[in-house]
Amino acid sequence: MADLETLTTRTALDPMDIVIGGPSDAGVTLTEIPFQTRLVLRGLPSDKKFTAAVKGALGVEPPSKPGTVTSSKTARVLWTAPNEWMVYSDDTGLAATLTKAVAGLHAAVTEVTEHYTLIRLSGRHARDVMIKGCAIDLHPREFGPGQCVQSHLGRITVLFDQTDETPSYHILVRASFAEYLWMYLEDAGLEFGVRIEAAG
Amino acid sequence: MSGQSFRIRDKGRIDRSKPVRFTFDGKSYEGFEGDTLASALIANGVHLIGRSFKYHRPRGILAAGSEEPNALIQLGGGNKSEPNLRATQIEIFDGLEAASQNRWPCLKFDVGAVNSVFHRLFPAGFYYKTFMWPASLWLKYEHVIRHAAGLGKAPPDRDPDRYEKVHAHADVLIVGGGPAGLAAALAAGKTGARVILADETADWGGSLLSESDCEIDGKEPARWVEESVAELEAMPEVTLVKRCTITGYYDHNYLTGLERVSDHLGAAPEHTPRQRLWKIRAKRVVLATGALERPLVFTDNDRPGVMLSSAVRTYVNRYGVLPGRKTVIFTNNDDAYRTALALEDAHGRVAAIVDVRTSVTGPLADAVRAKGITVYENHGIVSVQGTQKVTSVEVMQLDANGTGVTGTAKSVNCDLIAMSGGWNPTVHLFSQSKGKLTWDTEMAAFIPGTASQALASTGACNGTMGLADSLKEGLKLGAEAAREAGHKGRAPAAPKATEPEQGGLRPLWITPGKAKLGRKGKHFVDFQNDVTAADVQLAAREGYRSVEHLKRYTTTGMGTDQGKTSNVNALAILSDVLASDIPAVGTTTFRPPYTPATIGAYTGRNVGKLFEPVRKTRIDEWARANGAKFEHVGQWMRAWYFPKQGETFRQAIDREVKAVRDGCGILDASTLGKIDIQGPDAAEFLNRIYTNAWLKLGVGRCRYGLMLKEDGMVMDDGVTTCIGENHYHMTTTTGGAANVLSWLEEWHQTEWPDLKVFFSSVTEQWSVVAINGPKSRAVLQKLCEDVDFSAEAFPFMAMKEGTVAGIPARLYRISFTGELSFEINVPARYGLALWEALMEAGKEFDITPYGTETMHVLRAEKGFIIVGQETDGTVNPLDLGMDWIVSKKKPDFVGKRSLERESMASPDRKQLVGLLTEDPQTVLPEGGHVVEKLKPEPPMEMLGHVTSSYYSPNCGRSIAMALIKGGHARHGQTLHVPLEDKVVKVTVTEPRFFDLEGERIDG
Repeated sequence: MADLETLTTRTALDPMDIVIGGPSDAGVTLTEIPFQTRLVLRGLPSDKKFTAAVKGALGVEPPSKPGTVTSSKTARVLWTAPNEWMVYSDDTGLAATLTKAVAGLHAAVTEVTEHYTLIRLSGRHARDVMIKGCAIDLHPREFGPGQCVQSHLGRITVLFDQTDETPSYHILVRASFAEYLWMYLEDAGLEFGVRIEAAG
Repeated sequence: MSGQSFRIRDKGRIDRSKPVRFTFDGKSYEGFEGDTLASALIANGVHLIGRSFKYHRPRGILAAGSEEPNALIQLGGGNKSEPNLRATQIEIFDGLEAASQNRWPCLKFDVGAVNSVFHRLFPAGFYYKTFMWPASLWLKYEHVIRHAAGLGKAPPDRDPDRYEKVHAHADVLIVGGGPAGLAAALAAGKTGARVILADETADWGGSLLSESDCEIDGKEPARWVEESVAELEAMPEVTLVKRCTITGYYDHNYLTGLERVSDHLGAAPEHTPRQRLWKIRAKRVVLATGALERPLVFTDNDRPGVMLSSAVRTYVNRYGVLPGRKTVIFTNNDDAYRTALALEDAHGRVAAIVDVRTSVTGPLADAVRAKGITVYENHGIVSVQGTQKVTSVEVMQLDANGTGVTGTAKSVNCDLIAMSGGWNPTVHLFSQSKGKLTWDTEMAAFIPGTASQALASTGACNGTMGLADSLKEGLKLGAEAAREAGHKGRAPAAPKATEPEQGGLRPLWITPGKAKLGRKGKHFVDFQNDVTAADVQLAAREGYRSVEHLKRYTTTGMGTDQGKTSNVNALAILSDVLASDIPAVGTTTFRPPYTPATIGAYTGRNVGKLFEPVRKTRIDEWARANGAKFEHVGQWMRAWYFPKQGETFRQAIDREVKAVRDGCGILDASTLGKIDIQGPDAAEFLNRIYTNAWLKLGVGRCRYGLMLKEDGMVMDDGVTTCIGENHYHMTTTTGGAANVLSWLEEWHQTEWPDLKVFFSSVTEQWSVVAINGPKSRAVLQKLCEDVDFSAEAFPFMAMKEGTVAGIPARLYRISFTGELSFEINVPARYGLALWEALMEAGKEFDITPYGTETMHVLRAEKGFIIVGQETDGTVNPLDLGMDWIVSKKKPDFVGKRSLERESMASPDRKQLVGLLTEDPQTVLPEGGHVVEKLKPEPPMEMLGHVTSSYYSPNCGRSIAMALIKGGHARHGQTLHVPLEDKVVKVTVTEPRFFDLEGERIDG
């Protein structure tokens, strides 16, 4: 019987045979970050027990302001609806921790690690690439680190947050749309130069 | 000067050190960098540019900007070719190939010009009058008309260029980079506001680049423009976009712009788009779009060599070319006198100024007279000689009210007529924004009235014609717009500007000729659509009194230029016939785009691989490597079947279908919609959404459910499993996944917010492999040590967690085939590993991969419906014979009330039945109509249609399902399915064909 560690795993983008590399002065870099722990957290922000339980598990309360992100050492928590958050983290045990923490409350933790993949778009022209396909105002006066939004990018729906001033965007995309998004971003980035980087 | 014999030695903004070679109708010419095609052709003395739409009259260049109605060009060849471009906007580059349009066999001798001789056959509404009868011939007529009247030609194949789109946001969008626009941008930019300034031309400055007789702060206007642009470029939040036509103004200050990024370069540099579509959302908009000069409506005013006066000035001052060596100016206002002075300054001779005003005084008139130029007051041009280029004109004195002429005609030799009928503020975008126009009597033009969006108009487009006033107003409104968008700052002091003082105009809408209107020569109103003053009058007399009717009947204001030069003239002439004033007649609707935009720009990168997202599962690559054929299911690409070498479609399907029933088949079912449902009220929620009972489903148990819409019709179906306390896993159809989740959220949020339950989509969290057939248990047992597969321990409709091939999995014993079957769910990353392990373990059992087609045959053999195939939104559970799944005990569920209406159980509704063809080898086409009473030909009364039809190798015959009126009572009846080439006789049966007793489910 095979050991889980030795099994073949395939990320959403593996079938594309993406080649790492590209010009060092590229205007944007692209990276797939495939297997972070990703959780949909549901609960009532008005329930103090709930927010406290989440803080206990994640080190931070879920944001109550629409379109904002709170983050701790272990996790980033993105506001997606008045009673819904996207949590992502490198901690593979987080689903169990969080589920345990909110047990008995009116809350739900649903693992969506594989439902999504994450594409990181970064570089001095990252914003220029984003606004080709996204109608949200991403000007630094309007959108910066600590903010997230669900919107269209090209012909699909994504959830993304900005993680630094470079700028860098973490784009969460349904796995089956990842190939489209990757091709879209690569093509949209052509005029600025694109470098592909490995996750890690 | 290498052939550019009309180039002026010391004028123009062209770069004489950079000669550019181009061709027009195959002949090679030279111009300079900075020329438009129009200015370069004028430099070479070329004035015959095209043939008109209807009469094929020779036409030249009328204007110098985007309002050009005549000089339409087919640019480039092959798939890069683009028709109907205005020569006045095309920037020339080395190797540019331009061709005239609407002529055959050549521009100078055009057969179609015979239309002009028979012009009496082509009055207003000609198409409507001539081609109406018989209606059946319209298609033929249309074909001939299109060929004869078509302007340019569409390229034959795929567009090879790149196009971009960009979403832009601004505090203040300023449209137009002339004096008012630049001033507005300076004022807004200084506040720190985010400003976008767009101009449709290649240069900033607008009208300022055409003037040589004004100053700003003691400087040449071009200097002021340079300094202003440098100042704007230094502002980090100001975006300057040249060659960008704002084409549309929509709701909520959303505007679109078409930027011609590299059209002027010939070939675009690698990865550079040809054009870019700007989608701009602005808090405030400042329109500074200028004004368009009006032509005068006089006899044969369309001859090559008749040009707008301001355009002549632009060609002289901005491009350094002389449109004529001897000019007659024809005007109703002072502005044209500036043209006379500019021409004199450029060593072009002005033969005479013909002015319809009875008495002309003022500084401009004085200056002109001081040059010795004759001014004919109260005169009009009554005839134009020269068909391919003006050679002379006749002028006569106007009578007392300007409707006729008196005295004798004086002939004046000339090769250019510069005309000015006053100015129309460019209110197109204001009007598109739903702003109301008002009539300005002094200007005799429409100007912006009440705005209905957050915008301001400034400069000439606001009727503010003076330079000093425009600058002052631009600065004021620019600062105001920035303030309204939340920025602080005052308008900078206005610069001092001087320009020649001007008096008023005399609006004389038709210049009378020697004969009655329409008799000798043509008074053109709309050059592009060949509409004359006589046509407008005729239409009015025939009862087309509404301006909207006039437009459609005469076609005035249509075509690529949308009446930019003709609109007000046509309205004025109509109002005259109607004896009504112009504002009462009103104006037609201005619609986007302001100038035509390429479809490529709107398409952007949504072409080729990016035309539509293609969704694939994690097992897709195995299917691809193993020769699967695919089909689209929504956006998903699913394996359809797996043909072996040399197999036909039918052979492959028969083999796969048999293999599942005889041994073991394996299907990638990952695309099924999956929803994670949690909460103490989850069961109650399911109980309300599904038609059957859900309150007592134990952990580890699965149940099939049917969802109805409020109207009682089937919406979706699927199996939902209780995977833990207050925790359910719902599956939906592949196509219904997103809709079902929205449906659940809608009911929860709007009707039952008190229920404690949450939903999350997990469709792609799991790779799902369905293994079906009597040997499937044996295959799984090889890979799975921690699950008891005995029928007692793991019954039908149960779920167990375990490990398959080392992968943590959920195993659902559910079946869409009627066979012993397991649907194995693993985290998606292991999907491929699971599939490969199953293939390997199944080798000894001849495990057979199958696709969606075999899945369909297998379920049809068992009579399982597919939502969307057996149902179409008008089919209820009773129609499907699925009463068994509709609870009679539950107090309520979505659709219950509708379903209980008497008519929903009516025996003559369309009901699901099986059909067996008389010849077992005949497979009915899906969609085939089923009839009872056969007639030799349609129409026949239709009972219903075939919803599913296959050849079933397990039944050894074809099988079909159909929705048929009163079907449940028709079992045993013989009906007919008439097809194109034959009639198929069918017998109505139960919609179930195989394993009627359900004995195969345990293997």
